[in-house]
Amino acid sequence: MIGPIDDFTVQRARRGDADAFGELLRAHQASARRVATVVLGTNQGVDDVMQDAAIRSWQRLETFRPGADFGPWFLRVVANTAKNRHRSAGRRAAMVLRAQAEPANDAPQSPDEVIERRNAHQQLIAGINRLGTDDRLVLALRYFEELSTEEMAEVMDCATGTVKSRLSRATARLRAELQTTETYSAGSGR
Amino acid sequence: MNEWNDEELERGLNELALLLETGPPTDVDVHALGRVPLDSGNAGGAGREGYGAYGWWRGAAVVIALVAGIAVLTIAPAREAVAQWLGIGNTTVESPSEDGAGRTPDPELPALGDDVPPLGGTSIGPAETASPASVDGADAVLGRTLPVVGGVNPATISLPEEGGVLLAYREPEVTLWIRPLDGSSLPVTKELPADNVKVVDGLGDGDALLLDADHTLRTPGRTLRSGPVVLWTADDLELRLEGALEGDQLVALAREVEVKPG
Repeated sequence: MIGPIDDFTVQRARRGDADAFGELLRAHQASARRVATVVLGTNQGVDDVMQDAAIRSWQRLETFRPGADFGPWFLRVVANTAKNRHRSAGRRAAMVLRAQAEPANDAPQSPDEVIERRNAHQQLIAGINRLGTDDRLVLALRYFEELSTEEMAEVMDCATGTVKSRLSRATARLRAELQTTETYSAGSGR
Repeated sequence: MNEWNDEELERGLNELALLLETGPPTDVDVHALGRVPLDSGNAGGAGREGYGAYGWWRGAAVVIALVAGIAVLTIAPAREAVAQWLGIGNTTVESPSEDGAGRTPDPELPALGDDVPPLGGTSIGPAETASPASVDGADAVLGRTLPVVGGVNPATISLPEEGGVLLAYREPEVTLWIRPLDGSSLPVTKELPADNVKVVDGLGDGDALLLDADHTLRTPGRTLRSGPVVLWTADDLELRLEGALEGDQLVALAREVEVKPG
């Protein structure tokens, strides 16, 4: 979900143009908030992460490689900042879905289909909530942010081969969690 | 019940991106960021040199103060009072008041480790005579094997009242304070001029902080003086390496700390 950012905006920001940096932050805020929420395991504390990440990325703009995508670079700062905050004791709420969820697509759906999708989303979020931070992050980068393997490697600061193996393991663990949920639900007579 | 084949899993996860509750957007005041100086390695960027006289914490404070909406409304009074902060694990870093009070730690204050008995009441001695029992005790506190610094055993191991384990080394003369991030450690505040705080890339689980000056350390029960420190987290531990070394040397040593999984 990260779109191309005008190199010119990045260049302006690197020269100290705060307005240009603001444009970059706004362009990537939705992705950054999702990544922060996923790493924290809750949306509590996301504002703190965004503020710290903004300061840290501003400080390091000159380390940003010209011509590279700003998005993965910024998400790496956000993910690292969120990891630091996540270590604080006592923070372990769960991620939740919006109460008034907007339609996930424009195609018309029958009431049964709407209920089915809602149940699927609830199952998925319950499964993701039981995963570890690294698993949640790699899944979010791939499926929430739809990053390429190379972009994920930039965010996660690892080789592309490592990204693939981590994604494979995280997907397997999510499937196992979903299986557990379904088995439990079936056993509960749902 | 859903069939979680590859297609269905991908579809569901793609949809979650739009449904995840992430809270209202954060309104970062970028003009306040304009007063935040660059890292030392980036100094000299065109258009920013004039901001060097400002502590970047002051910029951070303005950013935090100007965040719109719910974030401002929910700031606790105590946090609002300090306003200038950044955190790593259970440690909060604050800049001193604008009049400079508190910039130099009182030399009469004790240092961390001055008044805590070594584990088991005795020093474990030099590396070659380290007591396995004492090391085992420290391992029990951390729930894992002690981290290793440059392949050398510590000269002493002690247990500060704020939690965790304090390892003291002789060559170089540094201390490594390791505290679990499981709720058993007390909060610690480091107070020093913002100009002496630097972000360190790629250390431990995320970003680290170098506190490159003598400073004051406050805990719920006492106030201590501290030398330069590197702070970082790794595998559910908060680590604090202190020593009278150049900042680069301290960071290099911190990178040699090998944390073993719990």
